[in-house]
Amino acid sequence: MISRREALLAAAGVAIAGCGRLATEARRRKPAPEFRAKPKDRSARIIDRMTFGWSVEEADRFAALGEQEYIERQLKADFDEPLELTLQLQSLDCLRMHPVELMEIPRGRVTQQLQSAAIVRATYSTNQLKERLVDFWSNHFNIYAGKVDGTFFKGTEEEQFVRKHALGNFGDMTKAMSKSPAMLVYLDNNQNYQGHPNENYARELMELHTLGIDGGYTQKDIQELARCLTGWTMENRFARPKGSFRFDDSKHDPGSKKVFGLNVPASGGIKDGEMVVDHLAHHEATGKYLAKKLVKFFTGARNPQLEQEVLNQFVQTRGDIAKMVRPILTSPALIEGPPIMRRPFELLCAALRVSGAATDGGPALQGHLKRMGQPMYEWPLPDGYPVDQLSWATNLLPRWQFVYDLAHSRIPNTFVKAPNAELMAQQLAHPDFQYA
Amino acid sequence: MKHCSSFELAMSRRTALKVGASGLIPWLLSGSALSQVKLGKRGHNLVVIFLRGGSDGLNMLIPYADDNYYRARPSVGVAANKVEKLTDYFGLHPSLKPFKTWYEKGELCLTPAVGSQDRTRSHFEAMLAMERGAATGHSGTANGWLARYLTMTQSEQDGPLRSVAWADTMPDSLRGAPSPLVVQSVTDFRLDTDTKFLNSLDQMYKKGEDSLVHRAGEQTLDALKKIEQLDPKNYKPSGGATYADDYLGKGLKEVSALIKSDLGLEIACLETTGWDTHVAQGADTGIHATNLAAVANNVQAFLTDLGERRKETTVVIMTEFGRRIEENAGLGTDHGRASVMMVFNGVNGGKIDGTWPGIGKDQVDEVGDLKPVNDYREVLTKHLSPRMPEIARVWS
Repeated sequence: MISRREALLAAAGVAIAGCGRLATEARRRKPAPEFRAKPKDRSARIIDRMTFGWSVEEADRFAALGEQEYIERQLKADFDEPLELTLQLQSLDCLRMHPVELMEIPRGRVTQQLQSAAIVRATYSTNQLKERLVDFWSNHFNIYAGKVDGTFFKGTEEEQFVRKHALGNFGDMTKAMSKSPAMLVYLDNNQNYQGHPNENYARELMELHTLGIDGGYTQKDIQELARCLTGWTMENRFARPKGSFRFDDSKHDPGSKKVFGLNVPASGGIKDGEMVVDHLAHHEATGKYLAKKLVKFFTGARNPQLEQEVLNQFVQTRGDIAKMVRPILTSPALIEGPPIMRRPFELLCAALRVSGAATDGGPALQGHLKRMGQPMYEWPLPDGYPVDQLSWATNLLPRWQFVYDLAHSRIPNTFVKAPNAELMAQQLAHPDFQYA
Repeated sequence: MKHCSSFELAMSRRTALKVGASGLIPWLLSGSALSQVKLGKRGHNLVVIFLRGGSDGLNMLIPYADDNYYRARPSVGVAANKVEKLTDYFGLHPSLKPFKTWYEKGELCLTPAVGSQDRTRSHFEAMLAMERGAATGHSGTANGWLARYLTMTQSEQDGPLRSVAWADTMPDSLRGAPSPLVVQSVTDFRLDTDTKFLNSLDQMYKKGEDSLVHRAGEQTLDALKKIEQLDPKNYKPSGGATYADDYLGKGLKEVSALIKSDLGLEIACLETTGWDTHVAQGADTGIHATNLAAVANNVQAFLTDLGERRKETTVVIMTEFGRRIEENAGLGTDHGRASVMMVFNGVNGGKIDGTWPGIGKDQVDEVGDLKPVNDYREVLTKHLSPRMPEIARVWS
């Protein structure tokens, strides 16, 4: 006999899954978009870099608002989202349910839902710049969904830590992230005890999340930071809110520490870690590292002058991400710089957008993404998927297969109304389309 | 497919059928006359298996006669009576038992305490150092050591299958190589499209434009034609070899098929993960033991399958660093600096090579790690340069 809870879950599941299908169907019934060629101008370049790819719809939105207003609105991310997208997201358990409850659902299905959410958001959201930054931060604070129970936590993680702060304050995001139960488990901080420190999280916090490898810290700083973070773990006790953050004072090293120039007095408890994370998140070395990464992400190259501007914003605003990103968006480096090779996820979304596809972002599409080399949330290392084109250029064959299948409507639950499938396949397979 | 009832789909199915009957095959045989193409140099292959995450060398080649080892590792240490003894000091982890035979036959050389000059103990830095062939991750040039070798030794006979990586993304060691392929399986290397589309790819990518994507596209189209001639799915291993149905096993099986088919493969890169054993590493059984057994059984199958051709195939098993000598509170080990390098059919087979710095209190480094006294570049040069002389010049 199934329990009442299971029955309720099942009934809700059926109703909600129905919403998702309806959303795709609604999109499919919309009239085919007017296909027109992408102009080779400033607006098209800005759109290609701020969004997951130029489309007729996006170009019209840009033109209606004008460049300045369009950028300001994207920085605020206050556009209404399409109804179909909202419906579709509501149908996904991984975004509605608590991680511990989610564990009752087969892991493979949760993974599919997570990837589905990523695809439909990046493709259909009107707040495209936010989605680009979600992709950026999600890789910056990468968690491998396949490790331990990461899959079940990733939805909440993405919602509460990444999406919430994607255009907000970097310090807030880092501080929130340092108490992310999924991150603490992924980087073994749940095994970091007084007298037996585990350095893994402390190291990546400095190397990848804040200061960067050239940030000037030493092995000693890592060991001291690990001591500060002893006892930071995931709640796992009986009758407590399982899966939430927990500070375990009994495992905490109470002695005084010195991390990267900051004296941490003895007996600070949870304040030790909080103090140091705050110190690191607002440190100038962090600003430099972020400036370099953001400029590279949007323009494809280093640019010391632009990096300095971004760093100035970081210092003046104490880490306001929107303010740091703004100067990049209209910089000559972005407008006149060389093209950037699209990573597979970007290529996939760009192709869906320009072709006006109706999709649920489901398993068939995800299979293509995996073959192209970038299944979402499955990069095992904490540094996130690479951004340089050399990492991706050799794997063209699955791209060609994907665009061919897309244009010819051979991907289940993904519908394209191409007036000329042959021509569309060719255009999407063209060397130029591999670049933004 | 069943969700899609459109007219377009019906069209594409009919088109596909027609293409299958007539269009596809002529395209494959068009262009250069394949029979005239000589695919690569024959004579030597290099297979590099990278254990990503930092495999614990002290639990691979175990100093079982050293009390320091057992003092530092009350739970993670492998009991002396479980060790496959090679000398009166060193022995193999029981999971690596298949390797003992190759050692005794004089085909396997083990070098302990191998590492780079990287001191960050970061996976990425240490891997980058070793894959770039540099002292540390951010010294030297940004392309890989194998890429530099491939560039130095390029010739007009080189086929597109000269270097192949079985991986999701390009390994740094091949980054910047003339024509590296990255596959999950060589059987994935085909296109299910139609003649018109294939012809259009030829036109779009073979215009001789000098962009990375154009070059990559051209190489892909060439390789496609050549792989079509091979049928790895029906490949039968020789000598009763049995590969596991895992990523490494599937990869090695295909390497063997490519080598035996003389399709011009020279360098194969494979990798496995799961070596970052901070927690619950285990000793003679457990996570690390299981991972080691998977590698040992697959490599055993590969060498058996190759038969005599194994002697012209050097297999290197390497990892970015070893682990700390002392176990941690999670019954695992943290990042260290030195690990073991295993080389089959290089030089000094049947020997434990290099220097052993010891693991006594006054012999370890400032953090308590085994000292990487044998630089990985020197070890690789020693083993590879007799058959790949240019290798001595790739390091930066």
